[in-house]
Amino acid sequence: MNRNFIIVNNQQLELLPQKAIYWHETQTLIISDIHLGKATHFRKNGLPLPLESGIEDLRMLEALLIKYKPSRVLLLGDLFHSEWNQEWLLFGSLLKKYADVSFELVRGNHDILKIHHYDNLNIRLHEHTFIESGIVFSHEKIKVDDNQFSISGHIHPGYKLYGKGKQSLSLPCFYREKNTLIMPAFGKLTGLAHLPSTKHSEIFVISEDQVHLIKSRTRLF
Amino acid sequence: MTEKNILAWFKKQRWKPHVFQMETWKAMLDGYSGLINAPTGSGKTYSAWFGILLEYLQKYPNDQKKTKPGLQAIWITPIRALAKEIEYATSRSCTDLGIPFSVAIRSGDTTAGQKAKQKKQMPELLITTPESLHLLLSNKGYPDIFKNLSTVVVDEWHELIGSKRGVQMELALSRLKGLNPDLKIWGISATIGNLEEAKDVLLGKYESPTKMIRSEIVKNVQIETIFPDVIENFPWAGFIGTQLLPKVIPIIHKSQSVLIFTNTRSQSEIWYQKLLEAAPDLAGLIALHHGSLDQNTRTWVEDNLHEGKLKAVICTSSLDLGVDFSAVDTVIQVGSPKGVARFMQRAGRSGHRPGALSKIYFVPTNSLEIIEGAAMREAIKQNVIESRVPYVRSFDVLVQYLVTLAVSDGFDPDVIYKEIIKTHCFATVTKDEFSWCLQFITNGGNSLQAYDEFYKVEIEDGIYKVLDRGVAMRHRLSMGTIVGDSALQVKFLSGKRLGSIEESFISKLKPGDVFWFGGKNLEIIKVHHMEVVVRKSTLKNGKIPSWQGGRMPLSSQLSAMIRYKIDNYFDDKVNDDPELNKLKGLFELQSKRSHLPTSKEFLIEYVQTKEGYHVFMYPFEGRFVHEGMAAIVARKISEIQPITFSIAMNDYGFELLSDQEINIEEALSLDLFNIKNLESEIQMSINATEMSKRRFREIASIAGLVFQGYPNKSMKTRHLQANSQLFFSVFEKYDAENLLLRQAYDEVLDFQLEIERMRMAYDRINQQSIILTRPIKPTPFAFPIMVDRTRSLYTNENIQDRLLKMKAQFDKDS
Repeated sequence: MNRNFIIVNNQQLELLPQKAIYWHETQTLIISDIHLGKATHFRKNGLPLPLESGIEDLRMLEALLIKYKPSRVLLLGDLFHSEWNQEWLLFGSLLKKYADVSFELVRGNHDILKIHHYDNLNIRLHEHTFIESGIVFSHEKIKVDDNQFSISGHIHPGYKLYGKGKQSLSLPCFYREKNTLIMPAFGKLTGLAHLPSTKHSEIFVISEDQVHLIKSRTRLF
Repeated sequence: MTEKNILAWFKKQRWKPHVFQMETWKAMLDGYSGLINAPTGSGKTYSAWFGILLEYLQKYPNDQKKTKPGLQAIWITPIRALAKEIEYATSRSCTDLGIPFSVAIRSGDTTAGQKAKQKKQMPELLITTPESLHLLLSNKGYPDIFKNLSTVVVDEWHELIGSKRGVQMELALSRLKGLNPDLKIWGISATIGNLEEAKDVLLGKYESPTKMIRSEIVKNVQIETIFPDVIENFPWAGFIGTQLLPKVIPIIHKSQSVLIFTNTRSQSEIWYQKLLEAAPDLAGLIALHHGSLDQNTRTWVEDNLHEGKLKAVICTSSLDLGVDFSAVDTVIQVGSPKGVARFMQRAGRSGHRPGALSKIYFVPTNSLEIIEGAAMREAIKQNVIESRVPYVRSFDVLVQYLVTLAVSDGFDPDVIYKEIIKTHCFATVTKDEFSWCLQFITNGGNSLQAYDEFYKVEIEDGIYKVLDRGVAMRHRLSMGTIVGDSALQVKFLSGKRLGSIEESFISKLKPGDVFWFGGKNLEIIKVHHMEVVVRKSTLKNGKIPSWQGGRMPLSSQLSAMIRYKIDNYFDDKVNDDPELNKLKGLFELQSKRSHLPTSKEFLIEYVQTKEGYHVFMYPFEGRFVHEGMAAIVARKISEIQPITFSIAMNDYGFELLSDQEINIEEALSLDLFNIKNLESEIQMSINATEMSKRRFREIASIAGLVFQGYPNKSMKTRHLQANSQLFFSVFEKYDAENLLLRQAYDEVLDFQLEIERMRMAYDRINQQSIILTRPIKPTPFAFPIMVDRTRSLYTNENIQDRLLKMKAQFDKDS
């Protein structure tokens, strides 16, 4: 099984096919854009996304907690899709079950819940950024100093591969460009924003249970 | 006031009523519903219109100033531009005859003020579109508006019947019939292959007596093919056709006004550019008209064409329909017209007067296509014309309609079920399926879960209603069945809009790049949000945009005529077409290198080139059928040996290309065309999921799952945005019995793969004897297919293998 690491300031960040990063030194699981509550939010407004689709994300999250036993989960925004609904309670019960894991959230544009909702679940909130070991975590991509490294989410990056015979394959990806990395969206109910491959980009596409690095190249046009 | 006055009015206009007009008046007075089959420019408007007026005069004989009886009749037109014409014709005769009968238009262009005025007092005749009629059904108290309605006329029904707008029409009529069982429904249709069916679809399964009225007017169409001087120098492949431009210019010069029809938007842009280059004297006298140009530009072109100020307009199907351009005396069709009906319709855009001869020039874009000129002439001679296949079981439109009714006064499901099963579209919908629709709009079609909070349609005392204002507003804004593509707006810095362009094209360009659009070279200043801001460029060569819009297949009727004409070639007695004579050299070469098949033969060619091993087959059945057949043949051959095929097709045949040698004799011994169960064959061979996913985009939009073009997006509505693909995949996973999902698969079989036509093609091929040849070089039949770059792949590999292969390719390229 191939494993993909990004080494930043001697820190080992492992890119997981579950659309998460495991930061080995600090036993931290990094996840972005889960968009919990989306199915229920849609349903409340008359749009019939099947309810089960939202629960699947929680199941995936729990699977990761079991596998990596992190001491901390760092959420890079858009944890909850919109206004409060009952899916928050389901998330709450999961957190209760893993009470020894600390959860921290860098607020994203979708995170419009009241402070007390986060407080109730003991989620530590960072308004804009969270910096540790020279790594700047944010929801939207921001400019950082050359000696820093930025990890963000927000755009749900994807990459479209083209093959012979006009075939194409659209896959979620980790998108690295110099000292920045954009994470794929963790939530099942999210779309993809296709990003181009550039001279400086390294694209790690996720296909089922594997992560593959697509080498950089110059743009064709 | 009686029929006498109307006859006198006709006399004053120096017209004589046609037999079909008088027949219609009588039938309408006798309470019939019916379908009038009459061509454009035959006075069809006056057939139904005076029927309405006569009935009104009979009902209110001495009415001068008494209380207004309100809405008497509705006139449906498929496009807004036609509404003005109807309004002019109808209100003019009312004024002339001194009848207090008011006429008004209600469409997307109608202002809120006018609508409010109409709400207070409806006119006697309302001219509207299917969409606006549905919007009326979403108003509170709508039954009041329609209480005195006696007639609905659906104009240009042939344009609506093969689309979901036709389904929308059927549903609206079922409701109006429900309110008033004596309502008369009248359709007006040009000739199509299934007129009787068209009548039955429109009129539904009601008790009322019905009639078909055919006009005695015949349109005379004359076709002239423009030939290259030397066939040997004319390209074997391609579909732009500007090689023959020098021969088109003199035709433009000697005509009063010319419509030049092309098959795609890019093609029209290229023709406009090349025409200006070749004939600079036409600058300012020619214009461009296609669906991606801004509405204002298009209206300007239409107005100037109407007034005879333009010498030529290069257009696409955007001008197939529309107002009378009496100045137009010449029509030119560039490239395959794909179907007889469409060709006749285009030809009819000239000589827009009863009895006038419609002349149309056919400009082929490659050698083999020349034969379509002869095929078209034969089709017209034999009176062969395509059918417009009506949609059935369009649950997306039904779901939208149910919510529309719930938004207004609410509906009783028992009443509505009885109404919808009287329509052609929903006649076979079972009670269970209807219940599914009801559940879908009330609880999201989900098994009830304790904490579910689905809000859309609610039930109060058995009445299904929308109570939530947000739901109602979103629904009203997203009603309709025409789903636009997500395009970027092109505009000047000043804000003037030029039209729209697809993201896939613009994403390849950057600021400073120049592209050709709407007949101008434009430089990109910036691309921001969904807008491309441009300025005029002095540079000569800009990139020509492409728009998606799939290529239409050759119709089954025209395909049959082409096969018939190739057969004629062998028969000196019948062969008097200039097209076949011109093709002689090409056909001889085809015979020499391979074989020219008669209608009793099925030709297969096996060719080896440096590209690999090619198998060509020529069913002459249109590209959609070929796509399906090619995949089935590919799968059958892959049973002999593991193999990967690149597949290409055109309207005449298809190609399987492989890097491995194919044992063609062994493959033929497999009985490639003996199909026992076509549905399961298709399922095994074709990636129906991918095709259905594309089809689902329209379905999701119509059923109100995704909405577009929503003004003033607040954060709240942004949080409700999702694309149809997301719905498609979650339904596949969690709600596989979803009727909208099933509909997507059915539509792929019926419309994308044309399964019934494929079945008939297989029957025919099984009667033919197979001729296998091994040409040394590609033949005139093979070449245009071989060079087509639109290819699909047949292989058994899984996603992981495909990824690794593409990745390897990618790494090699970089």
